[in-house]
Amino acid sequence: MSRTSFFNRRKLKTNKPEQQNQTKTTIELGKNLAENLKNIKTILGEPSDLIVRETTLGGTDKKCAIVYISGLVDQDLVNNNILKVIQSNMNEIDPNQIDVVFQEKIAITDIKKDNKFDESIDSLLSGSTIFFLDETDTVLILGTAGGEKRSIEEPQSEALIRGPREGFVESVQTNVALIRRDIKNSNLRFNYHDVGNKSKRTIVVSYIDGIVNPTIVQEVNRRVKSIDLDLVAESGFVEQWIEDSFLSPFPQMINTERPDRVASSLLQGKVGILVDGTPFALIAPTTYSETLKSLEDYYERWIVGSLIRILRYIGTFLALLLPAIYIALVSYHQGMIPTQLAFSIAAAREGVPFPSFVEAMLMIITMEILQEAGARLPKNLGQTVGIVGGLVIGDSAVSAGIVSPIMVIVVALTAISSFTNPSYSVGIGFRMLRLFFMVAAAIFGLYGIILAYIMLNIHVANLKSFGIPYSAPFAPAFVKDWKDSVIRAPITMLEKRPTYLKPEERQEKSKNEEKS
Amino acid sequence: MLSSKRWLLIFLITPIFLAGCWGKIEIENRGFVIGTAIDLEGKQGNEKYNLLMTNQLINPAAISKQSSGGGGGGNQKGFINIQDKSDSLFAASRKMRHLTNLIPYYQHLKVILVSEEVIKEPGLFSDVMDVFVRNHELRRGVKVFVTEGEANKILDFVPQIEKTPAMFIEKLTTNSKNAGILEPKRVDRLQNIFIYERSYFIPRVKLVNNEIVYDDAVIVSGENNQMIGTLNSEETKGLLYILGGTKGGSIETKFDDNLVNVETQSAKVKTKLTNKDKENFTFSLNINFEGTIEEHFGTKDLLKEKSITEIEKDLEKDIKQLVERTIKKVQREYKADVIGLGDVIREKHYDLWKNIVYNWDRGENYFSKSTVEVNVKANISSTGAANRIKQKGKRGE
Repeated sequence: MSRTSFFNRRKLKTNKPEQQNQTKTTIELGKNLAENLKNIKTILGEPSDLIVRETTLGGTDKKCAIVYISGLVDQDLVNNNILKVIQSNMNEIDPNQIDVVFQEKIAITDIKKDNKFDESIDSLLSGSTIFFLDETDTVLILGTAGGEKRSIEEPQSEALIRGPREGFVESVQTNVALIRRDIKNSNLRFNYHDVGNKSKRTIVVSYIDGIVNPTIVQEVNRRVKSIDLDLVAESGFVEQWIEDSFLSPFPQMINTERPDRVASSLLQGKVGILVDGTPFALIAPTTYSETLKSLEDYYERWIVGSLIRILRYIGTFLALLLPAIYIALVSYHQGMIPTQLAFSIAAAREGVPFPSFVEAMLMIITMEILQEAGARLPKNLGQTVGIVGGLVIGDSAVSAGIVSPIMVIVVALTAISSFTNPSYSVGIGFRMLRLFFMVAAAIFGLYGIILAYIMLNIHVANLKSFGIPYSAPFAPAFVKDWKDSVIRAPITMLEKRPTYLKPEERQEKSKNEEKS
Repeated sequence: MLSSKRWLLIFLITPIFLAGCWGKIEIENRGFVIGTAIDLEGKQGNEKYNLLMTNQLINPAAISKQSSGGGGGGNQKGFINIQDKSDSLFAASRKMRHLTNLIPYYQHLKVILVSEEVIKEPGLFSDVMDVFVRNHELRRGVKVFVTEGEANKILDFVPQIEKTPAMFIEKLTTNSKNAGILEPKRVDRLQNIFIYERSYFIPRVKLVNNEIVYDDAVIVSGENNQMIGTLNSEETKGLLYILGGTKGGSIETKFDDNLVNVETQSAKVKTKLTNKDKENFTFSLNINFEGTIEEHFGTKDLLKEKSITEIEKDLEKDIKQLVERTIKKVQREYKADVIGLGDVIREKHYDLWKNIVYNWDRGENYFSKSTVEVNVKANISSTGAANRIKQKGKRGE
C-alpha cells in the first residue's frame, strides 16, 4: 500500500493447476476400424481436406486405413513410404503382432504408437498421418509433417549491409536447425513447450547449458508454461504474456529475425525463445543498452562500430527530446538560443497562427500518420505516399504559413533519428515518449523536460527483465561491461561475457580451458 | 498511509504552480533588444538626472531575409529604435513598453553604449550600470562602450554588412580579437572594478564621417567613477603594448628610408617591482616583442643579419616611445592607474599593497610618484614568404 509506483508490476501467476481443455473428447479408441474412422470424421466435422484411405494390408485381407489432412503432410512421404509399403506383399507377417511389425516396415523415422484418441487427433492436426488397423485399439502416429514452407530469405525487418543474409522462417524446426548450424556445441539445449488451449503451438526455449545462468532459464520456462491463451499466433503474444511490466513503454525482450543475433545472444548467456509460425524470435533478458546494439557493430571494425553506436545514442536523444526542446526554447527560454538563430526562428514563426506546441503537435501527428500509412501499404505505393506526404505536405504547409520551416526541419530530423534505433519496437516506445516530453515541455519548458526525464529514469531504473535490471550495466554499475556499451571495444578486448547476466562461465574462448 | 499518499499528491501538484504555460511568451512576441544607448538629457535640480534610454529592437523578418532575395520586404530596416526619458533606466524601459507591440527582452542584449556626458557626472556611471548587473534577464557578457557625443546617434548608423549597428559593434570587437585593438569591457568586469574602486579605461566608439571608429579609450577614476580624460589612438596603442594585447596588430617603422610594416606575433609583458620604497616605487616593464615583416617598400636584402638587427632596433625605439608616452600621460596627467601597475604589487607583494591600497592612485598617489623603466626586446622571426619582389638597383651588391 505504501509503495506507490507509476508502473505497477504485474505479478505472474505461478504454475497454474492443470488447465482444463475443452477440446478433449471422451471418445475412446475402439477395436472397430469403421467406427474409429466415423468418430474421427464426426469430431473434425467431416472436412473435405481430411483424407481417409482405406485399404487392406498387402496380400492379406486385414482391413486398415491411413488418415491425414492434405496440405499439412508431405505427400511424397505418404505415398512412397507408407502407402506403398502397406500395399506391398506382406504375406509373411503375422497379423497379430501388427504393431511391432509395422515399426519394422514403414520407412519413416518419426513413428510412435498411441492408444488415446484425442492425442491422435492433435497429431493429425499438426501434420501427422495416422494408421488404423482393424481389430486393434492402438494406432500408429507417423510424422509426415510437411507441406508448403517459405524458403529462407534475407530478414526484411533487420537488413544489414554486412552479415549473413539468412533469416528465420515460420517453421520452428527450420529455425532450430538454423541456430544449431550457428552453434555447433553439445551443450546447446532446446526445451519444447506446447502452449495454447484451442490450438497447440510449439514454443522452444533455447540456451547453452554451462553458460547461461540457470535461474534465468528456470524463470523463462516457468513463465512460458504459465501462458494461458487460446492461440499463440505470434511471438508477440509470448512476449506480452511473460514480460515483467506490461505498462512500460520499453520492450523487455528483443525480437529478431536473425539467427546470428540469437546465436550470439545465447553465447553471451541469454535465452532465446522461438515460436512456431513466426520468424520473430525473442531474446531475454535484455537491457536498455542492448536494444541500441546492432550486430553490425561487431561485424564492422571497432572504430566504425563505436562511432555508429555513439551516433545511435545521439539519434535516440534527438528522437526523444528534439521537438520538446524546440518547444521549450521557443516558448520559454529564448535566451538560450544563439542570437542569430533566435532572430531567424522569430522571423520564421512570424505569421504562424499556432503556438509552437500546437505547431509541433500538428507536424508530429502528420508524420505519424504518414509513417503508419506507409507501413501498411504495398511497397511501391508506400513510397509514393512518403513522397506526397513528406515533400508535398511539408512544403505546402510551410508556404501556407501553417508551420514554420524550422519546425519541418525539427520534425524531419526527429523522424530520421528515430529510425537509427535498430529495434523497431523500441522505436515505437520512443514515439510515445516523445509526445509525453512535448506535453511536459509545453507546460513547464525545460523544467518540465527535466522532470519528465527524471520520471523516465526512475522508471527505467525500476524496470527489470527476468530479474536483470533494465538499466544495466550503467545503473547497477558493471564497470567491466562498459567497454561494450556506448563504445564497442576491439574484439580482442571483449573476451569475457557480460557480468550483468551473471553467467556460469565468464571467460569466453578457450582461455578458460587452458587455465584449468 | 493515507497521509503519505496525500503528500505525494501535493509534491506532484506543486511543480505546476512554480512555472507553467501562463508564463509562456512565444518567440515571435518577444522584442529582442540587442543594443541600448544611455544619454544624459539634463539635470533636474540636485543629484537628479534625466536619462534618455534608447533601445534597439531587431525586426526579425527584415533581418533574416536574404539580401539578394529581395522579394516583398524591400529595403526594410533590420532594427527599430525606441526611446524614452526618465530619471531611472528601469522606469524608462517600462515606459517603453507602450511604444511597441512586442515585449522587450534583454537576454540577447549585446552592447551598451554610454555617452561621455553620463560618465562625466561623478558616480552616475556606476548607478546607471546597476540595472544591467542586477537584472536577471541580462547576461554578464554584455559589452559596454563609451561614445563620443550622443550615444543614440550611433544606434542610428546603418552598417553595410550587418543588419543592425549594435550587432556591427559587437562583431567589430569580437571578430577582431587578433587585430591589435582594445578588448571591450564587459558588465561583469565592470562590477568587479566598481567594487574594488579601481581606475579603469573604457574603449570608445565614435562616428566620424558616418563611419564607426573604434581606436581610443576614456580614462575613468576609480574614486567616483568619473571620466577624467581620454587616450588618443596613439596612446591607446601604447596602452595595448603595456597590456600585452597587440597580437595581430601592426607597427610601422623606417628602414633605409623605406617603409617596413611588422605584424605582431606576440608581445609578452613582464612587470616587476624593483624598488619597494613607497615614495619611489620603481617598476621594470619588459616587453618581449616578436613580429614578422609583412610589407617592405624598399629593395634591401632583408635576410641579412645586419638589416634585421637594424629593423629590430628601430622597432624597440618606436615601441618604447609609444609606451612611455602613454605611461607619462596616465601617470602625470590623469594620475589614474589604468595600466595595471597596482595589480603587480597586489599580486606579488600583498602585504605592501594592503598598506598603500588607499593611497595608490588617490590620496598620496604613490602611483604618480613611481617610475617605470621600459625595456623592449624586439625580435623579427620571419621576413615573409619572399625576400624581395623587386630588383635591386645594382647587381652583385
